[in-house]
Amino acid sequence: MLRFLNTASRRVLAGGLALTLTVLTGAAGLMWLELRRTESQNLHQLELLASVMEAHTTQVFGTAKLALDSVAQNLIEGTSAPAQLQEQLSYRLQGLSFLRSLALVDTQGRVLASTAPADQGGKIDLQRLIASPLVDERAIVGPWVQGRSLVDSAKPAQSPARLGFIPMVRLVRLSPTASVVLVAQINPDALANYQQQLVDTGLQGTQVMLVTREGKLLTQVGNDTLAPGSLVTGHPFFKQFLAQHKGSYGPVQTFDSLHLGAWNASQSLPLLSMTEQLYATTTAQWMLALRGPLLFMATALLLIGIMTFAAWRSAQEREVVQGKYKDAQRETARREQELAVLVKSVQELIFRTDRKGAIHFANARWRVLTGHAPELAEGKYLRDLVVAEHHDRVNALFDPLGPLDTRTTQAHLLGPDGHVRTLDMSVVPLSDRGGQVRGFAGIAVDVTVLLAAQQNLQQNLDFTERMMEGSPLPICMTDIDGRFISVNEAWEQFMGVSRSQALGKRNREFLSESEAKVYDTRNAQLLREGGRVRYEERLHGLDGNSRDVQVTKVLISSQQGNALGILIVKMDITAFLAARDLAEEASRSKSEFVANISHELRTPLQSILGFSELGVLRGREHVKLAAMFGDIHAAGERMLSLVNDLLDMSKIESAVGAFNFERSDVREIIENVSGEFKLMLDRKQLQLQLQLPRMPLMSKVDPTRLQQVVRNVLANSIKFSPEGRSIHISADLAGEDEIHVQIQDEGPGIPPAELEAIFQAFVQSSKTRDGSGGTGLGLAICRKILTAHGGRIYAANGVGGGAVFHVFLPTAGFASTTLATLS
Amino acid sequence: MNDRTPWTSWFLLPLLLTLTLLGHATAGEAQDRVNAKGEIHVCIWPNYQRITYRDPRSGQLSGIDIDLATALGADLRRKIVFVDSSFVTLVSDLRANRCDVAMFGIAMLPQRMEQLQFSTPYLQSDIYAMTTRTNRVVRQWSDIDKPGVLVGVQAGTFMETVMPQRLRNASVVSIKLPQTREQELVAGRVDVFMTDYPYGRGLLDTTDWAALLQPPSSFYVLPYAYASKPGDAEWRATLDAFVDRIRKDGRLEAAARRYGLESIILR
Repeated sequence: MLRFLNTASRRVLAGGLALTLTVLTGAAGLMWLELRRTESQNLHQLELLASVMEAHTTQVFGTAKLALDSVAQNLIEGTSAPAQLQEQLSYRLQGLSFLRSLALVDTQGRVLASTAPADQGGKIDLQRLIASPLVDERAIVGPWVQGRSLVDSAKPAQSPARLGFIPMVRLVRLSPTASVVLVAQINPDALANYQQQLVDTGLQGTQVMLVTREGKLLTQVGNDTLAPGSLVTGHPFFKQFLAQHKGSYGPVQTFDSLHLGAWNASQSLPLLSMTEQLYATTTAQWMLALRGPLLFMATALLLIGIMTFAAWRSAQEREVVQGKYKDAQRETARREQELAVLVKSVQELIFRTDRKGAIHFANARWRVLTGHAPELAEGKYLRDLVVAEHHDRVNALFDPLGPLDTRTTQAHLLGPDGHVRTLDMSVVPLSDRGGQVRGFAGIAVDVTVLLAAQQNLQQNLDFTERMMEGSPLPICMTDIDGRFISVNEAWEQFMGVSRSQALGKRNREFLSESEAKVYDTRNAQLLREGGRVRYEERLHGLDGNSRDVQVTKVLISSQQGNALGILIVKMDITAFLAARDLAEEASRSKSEFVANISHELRTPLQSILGFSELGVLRGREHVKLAAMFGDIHAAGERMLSLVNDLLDMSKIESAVGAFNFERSDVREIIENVSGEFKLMLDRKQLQLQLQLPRMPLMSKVDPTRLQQVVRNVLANSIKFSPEGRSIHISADLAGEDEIHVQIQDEGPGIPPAELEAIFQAFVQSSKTRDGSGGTGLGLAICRKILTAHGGRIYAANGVGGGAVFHVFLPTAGFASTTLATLS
Repeated sequence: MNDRTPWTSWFLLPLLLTLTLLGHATAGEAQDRVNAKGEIHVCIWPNYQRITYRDPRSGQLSGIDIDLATALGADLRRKIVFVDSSFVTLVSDLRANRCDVAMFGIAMLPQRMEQLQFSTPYLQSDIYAMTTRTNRVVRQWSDIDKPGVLVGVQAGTFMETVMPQRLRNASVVSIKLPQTREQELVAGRVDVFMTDYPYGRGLLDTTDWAALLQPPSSFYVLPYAYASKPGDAEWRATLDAFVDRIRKDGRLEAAARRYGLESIILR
């Protein structure tokens, strides 16, 4: 329970609930009191009605008794003769509206005189009128008797069932032996008329009853469920209250529902006046009276509800704010802790002093610098830590009259390990509101290592500088905008511009417009692509001479990849190019010469071949002659082959238009060439195993020339493979840019020293130099073809023996298939 | 009397002259007497609640016919003198010239019409029954005509002749003065008595015990008119004209409304 009340909002709810319960309890109590009050009030009214009814009843019966007594007196005194008696009775009757009739009967019931003509001369049954025999001269009230007249009462069937009267009978002793009886018929309806008025004054559901003490009903008004004359002794009154003169009861179950009731017993007659009221009337009255209080209570509950809700909302909002405040406090504490840890872990000394420089606080770094715990720093002065010659510098830092901005200095400190450390100190004066310095906060950074590194770096830089200066190549460094940062002496000489003129300026200021354009274009390319660019250009020097220069530009980047500058190295290749051109010219002349010679040789060779072949045919009968012609023919054939190869080779070297490149699938070329060798393979019982990928291997090649390469290599493999072995050809992509074709045989292989030499012209492997018929130009042609394709070929020995020829070709990417722009 | 009097007087003067000339041939003694005396003697029954009733405490007369008699006097510019009468003495009082006209809600019974002359009727009433609220014998109209029930009627009223004809089981008791129907009912000597609407409504107003029973359907409706001695056509014409006037000019309705009788006026 107490845990439930641990928040203000819940306490507010509990308070609201308690208040509601209090209001409800109070209201219930007041309602109960109101019910009791209403009951009491109604009982009082019923008592009053019973009392009034009793008074009226007593008065009516008393008046009737008086009338009987008066007539009796006249009879006894003999003042009324029988003839006058009728008139006297009528006279008496006139003033008594509640009497139906007055009659004089003898003790046998014969009517001697009566105001009712119907009764005159009749006979009545006195036993029906009163239960007990008449023994004295009292007026006795009988029960309700059915009938209109006294005679009718002897024959009840002749009158309506509910028509009756209340008899009052009085014995008159005329003499000791003679008696007569006076009978008065009291009309119950006359009583009921009066009682009706009482009921009218009562609340709804009020009924009154006049009952004899024996419990016989005389009248009932307000509710006529009971028959007149019926016995009502079953009523709770007769069981509990009969002995009491008057009083009230209820709520009790009487007849068929809850009632409040009151009674009043006549003092002079055996009659009871009873009043009853439905209890529902009381409750209805009570409810009516409660309307106001209930409305008030509902309003109060509503107000309590609204106020509780408002207070609850307010408390909740306060809790939320408090929660946020606590979170903020926790966050602050956490940050303070983090800051403390940070300060503690900082590798620099952080300190705080008073205005004289005495330390208040120092972080954990103090221990490293002094060898003492930071707690012991308090009250010490920084100047006492540094070497004596730097005392003044440190004192100047803590000058209270000095400038208010940051003060810095560098000082040496003799560490606990005996080494001198260099500290960069930085101090900020802390001022109060009046501008007075009240202390200092500062930081001392141990820069010993940094200084050493700086020194080291400087040395490196100096070394680099010297290297650069010593280099015979012109070297310069520009920033990314092209401004010279540094140049070496060779550059000064090469360019004919002094260092002082060059630094801070752009290269274009010393170059012609076209050269500057090339220069800037290359720079832009370098900055865009990174890495290095190398190109050749012709520079027109200030002295009017032109020089061919190979320029190498390297982009210098920081570790983060930001471009810092461009290193430019120039190399004068004027002489080199001249030599190269000369050599190329010589080579071209040689090739043309070889081509011409070869062409010129083929014509006489055709004649030699033709006549030697003719000689073989014609000299069939002369074996020796035929053999000689055969030799001539074979030598001619070999010579023709050699001349063809030479011609081929010179074509490749000299004629630029010897190649027709087109996009081709390398797999198709390999398969086609393989097909050509089927006969040769079968002859030596060799098995060719092709391993080609399912995807095309596209390359931009001259298919005829590439076929020549494959044909050459495969022919070599067949030539050197022993019978019954296998030859493997595989082709696949090697990376993204190259197609790799391998041709492997199971032959004798190639001595490692000759792996490269076999690609030179007229060189054959020592292992295969057995006169197998090669010219020694095949592989040289292959290499030239592949070089012309941008590819390469080399030989190797397989792991399990045999030679492997590796052929690499550049792939034909998408770029090479797209059309060039017209610009 | 009301604000129409000046207007009607202008209208009435030539009318009266005309009527006087027309009625000359049958001019009767009542008209002559009225003309001669300058007074109109009006018979009333001062126990007739709402019609002609004398308050026993103040002696003040009230009722619809008191108001209408006053209106008649005003119309004819004659003084009104009220003369006490009753239904028993009605015929003799008129014939003996004790009054010139009887104005107390007189039902146009055949017997009366033989002996008296009547004006145009102005009210009509059915027969109603009075009993006590606490009565255990008669509580509704259907309880009346049962064996053993005694039905009281005022001697001299038309009920005395009508009721014996209508009742099959109950007995009729004719009540003569000094006995009253109310006394006989309260003492239980009769169970119910018959009366007309004005009387019944009046009794309800003045007693706490009375209960008025209305016939469920029309029982015996009779028109009420002003009676006068027969043989005086001029006087009757004067009275007829008066009734016509009060019916048309709203005085009848206004007077009836004052006494709660608007439901029984003949419009």
